[in-house]
Amino acid sequence: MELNAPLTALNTVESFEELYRRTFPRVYAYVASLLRDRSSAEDVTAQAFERAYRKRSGFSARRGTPEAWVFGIARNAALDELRKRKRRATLESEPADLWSPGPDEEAERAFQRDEVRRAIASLEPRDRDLIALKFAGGLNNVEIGRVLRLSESNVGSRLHRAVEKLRKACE
Amino acid sequence: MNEETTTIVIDNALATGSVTALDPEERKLQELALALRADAPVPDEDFALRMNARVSAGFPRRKRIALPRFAVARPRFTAIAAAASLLIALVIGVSLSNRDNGTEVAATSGGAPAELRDEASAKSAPAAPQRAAAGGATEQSADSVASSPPIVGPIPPTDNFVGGRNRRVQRSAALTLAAPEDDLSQVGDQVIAVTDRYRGFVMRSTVTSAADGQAGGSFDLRIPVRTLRPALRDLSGLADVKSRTENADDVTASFVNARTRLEELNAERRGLLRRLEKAITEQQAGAIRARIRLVNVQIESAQSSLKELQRRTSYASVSVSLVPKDEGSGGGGGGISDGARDFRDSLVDSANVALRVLGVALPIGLVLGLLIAGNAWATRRRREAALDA
Repeated sequence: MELNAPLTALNTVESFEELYRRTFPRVYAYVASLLRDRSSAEDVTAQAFERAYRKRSGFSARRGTPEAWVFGIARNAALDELRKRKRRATLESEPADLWSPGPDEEAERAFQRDEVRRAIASLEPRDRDLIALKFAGGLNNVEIGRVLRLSESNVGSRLHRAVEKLRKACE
Repeated sequence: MNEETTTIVIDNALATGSVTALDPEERKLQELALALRADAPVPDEDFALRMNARVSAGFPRRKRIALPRFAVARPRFTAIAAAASLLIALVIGVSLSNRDNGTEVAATSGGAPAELRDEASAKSAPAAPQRAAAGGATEQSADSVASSPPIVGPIPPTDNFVGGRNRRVQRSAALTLAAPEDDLSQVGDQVIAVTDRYRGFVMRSTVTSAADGQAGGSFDLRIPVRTLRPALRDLSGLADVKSRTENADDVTASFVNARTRLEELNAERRGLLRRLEKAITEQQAGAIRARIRLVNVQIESAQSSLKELQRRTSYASVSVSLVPKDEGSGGGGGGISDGARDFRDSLVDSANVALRVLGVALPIGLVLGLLIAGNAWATRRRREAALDA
């Protein structure tokens, strides 16, 4: 089976495994960006894929791509985790071990990354969610619209504003 | 740079993995996009291996205490179902309660009017004769007269569907029933049986067989007004109803007038008796006695009129006509027409059942749908609230 062929149904184990292979690193990256905690991100990612596996027969291609569907499930799981954290009043906690620099990472590159991370941290949570879906999740605007229940043009507008904020924060 | 350009520039950078734009601003944006993607967290190798294994195994379930599946997996659905059940039970309870109240009201108007009349009459009785004598056959005067002490015996309660409970209504009905020619006699017997069952009586009956000419029959019945409706229902069930008419004439004014006239005559008689006691000469006494005899005759006549009115308002006149059923023309055509009629009746019955089922299922479905939609909306709002700063 071609790796990039679009999936229209997930009623077989093989098709789900293919979806998993395509999306696992991106779903993890998105969830980790949102939760900013490696351990929680792993739990939530595992939970999201398990939910997706159990609900796979309920997937309908009319409601969007399988990728958008999995990201929707992952987002719900991540938001549930955030709610739990909010109750524990640690929503804005700093990431502990999410991004560890490599031993041979250049100083300039490390400085640039820190700058970007600070800029992302300065964004509002909703903008951070959008940026994570776009850059960590690798979704296009239509798929992001499906996940967030927004129109494509609305996603474009919000993305434009969020990127502008990021650029200003990086300057 | 507008929104559209931003999207195009970013998507180009992400697709090619390099900075392709010539414009310095766009290049900066592409560099930022690539930096953001490069900075995306990467899963640990161990975690990825564990996940791969779980996916390959089909996410085996961990062993749990065996609770009912609906209670474990769908607590919200259980709550919704419980709420919907409560709501439905509430609706049914309220509707039944309303129906009970309606029955009580009906029973009050039909079954226990005497006490209510007596209670109401205590206040308005003294003024009644004057109002009635003035010719005012109004609801109020009718109440007053009906509630005054009885002159010619207790008045049976009536099923007054025209107006107030003390109105006097003369009711009649006419029914034309069609039965197979061979069954006309049997249906005629059943008409009489129904009349007996409801304590009515047959004034006149005729059943003609086919040998004597045109087959058919007619019945002139008197049915107690209070049982007229069930009696008509039973009579209608004996054969096919070709026509049914019901009439109601308000005779309250005539009733009040007759009663007032009787009271006046009684009062005159009492006055004459007092004058007779005080009469001095035999001639005077004779004249008074003659007048009393005349008044006595008038009282008897007034009582008779009043009784007749009471009888007419207590019993409904029901005319039942029996006609032979049209079996259809053309030899053997009856079977087809019967079949067609049965088919039509079955369709109507099915439609009735379907409508009733729909009448129950639709509100329940709506309530459940609203609850599920409301629950989904509330859950989404709660989740989204986690992103509120």
